[in-house]
Amino acid sequence: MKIHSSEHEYNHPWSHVTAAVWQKYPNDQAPHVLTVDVLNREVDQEKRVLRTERLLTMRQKVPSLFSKLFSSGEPISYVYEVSEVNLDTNTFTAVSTNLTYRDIMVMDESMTYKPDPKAPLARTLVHQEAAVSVSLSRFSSYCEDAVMSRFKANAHLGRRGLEQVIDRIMLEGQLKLHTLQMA
Amino acid sequence: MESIGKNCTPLKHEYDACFNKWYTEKFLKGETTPECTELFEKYRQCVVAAIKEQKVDKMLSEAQKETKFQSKI
Repeated sequence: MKIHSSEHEYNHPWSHVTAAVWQKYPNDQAPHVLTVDVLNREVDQEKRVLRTERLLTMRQKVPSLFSKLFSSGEPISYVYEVSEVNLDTNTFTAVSTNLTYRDIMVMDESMTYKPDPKAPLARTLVHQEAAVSVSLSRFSSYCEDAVMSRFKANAHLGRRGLEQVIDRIMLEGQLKLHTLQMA
Repeated sequence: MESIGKNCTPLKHEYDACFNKWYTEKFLKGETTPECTELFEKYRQCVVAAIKEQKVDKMLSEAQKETKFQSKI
């Protein structure tokens, strides 16, 4: 498991930053994000919390190594995100995770946006964390399957190739083969 | 931005516009009564169908079961 965390500041009020999060895509810095959809949304009026579930599709959020080894098509990854906006604590927290290749690798990300206590009306602090964990046994199992699958496909091609050559040399009238059969 | 279901994209845009307006003009000001619910239902049904059609539903529901993603509301 590897973890990374970082802090960042926006010189904008928390309300502006969180409004922008909902409209984040498309943007020039993220051409790999293909689709964004809201799956669920609910408000707890008593707690003043907005909870949202989203599904994003992107071109290759998982390492290209996986898509090269395990799929032949266009690598599309699916990401699931759950977020909560709490008006009482002025906190926006979003956690997201990959759905694609989840049995080999899990990559969890979390982002928390809060007003900067030193300038709560003007600045927003964001804390971002990512944790990645790869299952070695699953990964090696996938690799073995992929290699075997390629081997079987090649074996099939090998047999077809030989059949074609046999047909060809028979057509060319190479009688030596015919003679061998009689002996 | 597009929806995962190509034909859901117009419904998504309509709903997003409604939501963004509600979020900035109402919710952030403390008026938490939900709006855009009818628009959302139409859009959501389209998305659910697209997810099933593209066979993403199973991996999605697996992730949704995980504790950290459960709704506390």
